[in-house]
Amino acid sequence: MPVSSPLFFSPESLSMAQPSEALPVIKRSQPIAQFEGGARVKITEIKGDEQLCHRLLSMGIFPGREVHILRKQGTSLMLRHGHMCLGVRLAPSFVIEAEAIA
Amino acid sequence: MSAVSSDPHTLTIAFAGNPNVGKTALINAVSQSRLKVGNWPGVTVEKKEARYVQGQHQFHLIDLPGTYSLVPHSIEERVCRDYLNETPPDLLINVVDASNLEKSLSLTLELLEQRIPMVLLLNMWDEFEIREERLDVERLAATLGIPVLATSAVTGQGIEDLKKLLAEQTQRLTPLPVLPDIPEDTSQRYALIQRWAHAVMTRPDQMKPSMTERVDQVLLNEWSGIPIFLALLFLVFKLTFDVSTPFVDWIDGFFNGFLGRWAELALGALSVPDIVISLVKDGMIGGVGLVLTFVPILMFLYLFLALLEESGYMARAAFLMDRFMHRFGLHGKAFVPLLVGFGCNVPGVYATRALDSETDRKITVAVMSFMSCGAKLPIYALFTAVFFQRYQAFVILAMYVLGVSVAIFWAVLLRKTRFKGEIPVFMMELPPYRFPQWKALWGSIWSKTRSFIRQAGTVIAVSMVLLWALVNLPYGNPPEKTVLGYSARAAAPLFLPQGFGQRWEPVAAILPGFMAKEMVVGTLGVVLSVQQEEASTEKPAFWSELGAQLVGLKDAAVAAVATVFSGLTPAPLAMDDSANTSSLTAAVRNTFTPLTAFAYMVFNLFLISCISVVGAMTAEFGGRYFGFVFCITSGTAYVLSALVYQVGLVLGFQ
Repeated sequence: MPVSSPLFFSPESLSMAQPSEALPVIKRSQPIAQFEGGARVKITEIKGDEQLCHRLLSMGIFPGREVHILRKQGTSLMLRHGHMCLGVRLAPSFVIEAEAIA
Repeated sequence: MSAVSSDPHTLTIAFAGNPNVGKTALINAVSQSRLKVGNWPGVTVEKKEARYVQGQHQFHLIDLPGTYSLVPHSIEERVCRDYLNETPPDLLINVVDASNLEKSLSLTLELLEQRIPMVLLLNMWDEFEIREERLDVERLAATLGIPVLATSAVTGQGIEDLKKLLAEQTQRLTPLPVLPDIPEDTSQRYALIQRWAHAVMTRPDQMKPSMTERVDQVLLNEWSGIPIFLALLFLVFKLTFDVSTPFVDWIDGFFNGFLGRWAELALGALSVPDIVISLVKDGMIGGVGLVLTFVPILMFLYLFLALLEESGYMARAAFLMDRFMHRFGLHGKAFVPLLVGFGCNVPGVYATRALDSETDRKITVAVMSFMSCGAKLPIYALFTAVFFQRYQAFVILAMYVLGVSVAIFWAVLLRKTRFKGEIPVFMMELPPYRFPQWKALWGSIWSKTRSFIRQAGTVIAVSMVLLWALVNLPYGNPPEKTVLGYSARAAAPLFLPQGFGQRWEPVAAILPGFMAKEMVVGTLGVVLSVQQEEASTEKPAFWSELGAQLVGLKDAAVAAVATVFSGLTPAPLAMDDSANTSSLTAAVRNTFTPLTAFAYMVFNLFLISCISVVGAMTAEFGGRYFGFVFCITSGTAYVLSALVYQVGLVLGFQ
């Protein structure tokens, strides 16, 4: 499996997730489309058009959020968090980075 | 905050919330279904409102379009924001899906910041209660500083409380919310939302897969998803046309047979000149009749599409198709409009409203005309019956395939040139499956049908009168000596590269065909001077005929119901009856060669279907963009039909 940017951390993910953590934590995050269907991941960063970021945020998808990748078909993903399901296909200019959670 | 209403006895109450949270159903429940559907000024977003009177007071309920935020990204969001800024209501009701509180609170925060008296409704409470989750309603009310009610439009829970709350507004308005400290920064806002949600909700550690998830395992499955989808769409399509056909035939007969004939008799008795009688009968009554024949098709199509939409399947169909379509420069949500276009382009044009991006809408509507609509079928049926009898089904199928291929070509080209840029990200909430509510279905069907009758209807009716003038003036002359005949003779040389310009008659049928493709075959019949069926000479009896018409309507309804049960087996290709008229067949055989006939079919395939599509496209996209689409379609038709003829000649066909 291709792993992009093996060393990565974003300030948002730190402030959102564990504000009390003293040391910067090194995380393995990669574009969410590279995970397999069934994976549970935590979103670390959303990069791209600001309005689209806002749209995602207002749908409840934002850094720090844990989501379940229900299925993956090609580049299309079906994400779930809580009781909400979201169908997404991202574009080269709009990327969601995420890391696996145990 | 001042009340907008000029009348102190009118209270304006706006309902805001995410899509699919049941706002409309709530308004229906409170107002006893007095919902009126219209449009927000200047945009194509539906505006639903209801008014009712209680004692001295009038309540005006407004259903704001479903949005996720007030940041103006889509038309819906802009409508919401402008409404709240420009005409703040007396009370704002934020409807949220109780099962999805955390997602909804983002919009709630933005609404709170509008500083309008506000109430939160935890709707779909019945669905929430089934889950093993708890929500502390009082604590939520204390946190937000506004009244919170648990409601369900399905079971009626909380509706009485809501009515009471609205009635109380006449005595004393709900006070302005005491704003909790809301941070500006987005990530801090979400931290706040999460804190609030966790404080009021308790969730079991392990969630059981819901019914929706189990259904999705079949409907969105890698293998079964697409076949089920195609089967469902085939069913929708078939049912729409089978069920509406008896009604279409009845309307056609009622206007052209019954009303037309009686108008002729009545005007004749008043010794009105023949030319006026012909104008009223063929131009006006025929025109209105033509508009109304579209209505049953549209209504049934909208019914089945609304069923798919309300049940939650439509969002998934778009998700499934996006996987394939984005490779051709089309957004997944464009699939449904294009599919509808195979039946009739007019509802297809309106269905593009489901697309968020204006660019996607424009590309979709540009290739809409290449989805060969139902009215083009009689043309193929006539020519294939005359010239390609042995390969009839194959040739007709080839027309559809050619249309789709050219549509893909133009979609890719437009995305690379005029609408340069990457295909927008696909992002769509897939709502849980629900049983559709009848009232919501009817509202959706009626509002769309009415918009067709109003906008496209006027255009068609007027054009029919114009067409009448072309075919009949100077009055009493044979076809080749009318305005249409003269202009067709003049224009015929333009179509020499396509072969069929060697005769003026095929060219004469192009313009009426532009009004409606149904008229191509009919006009060919007229200009080739095929003997028309003589009108019946029976002694007329108005009341008994009217009675017969009503019986006919009842029979149409019965036939429609019957087709639902009997019509599920694929029917053989429908052949227009007039296509079998032997005199027309003979005339066509003398006028065309197999090659010019094929070129003529290709030419008609790519042309804009009818004047109603012109009306719909102009209403939705403006005259300028329609002009662009018109150039694309006509240019493609002209060039490809010439290519077919010339290549055919080289290959030795005739």
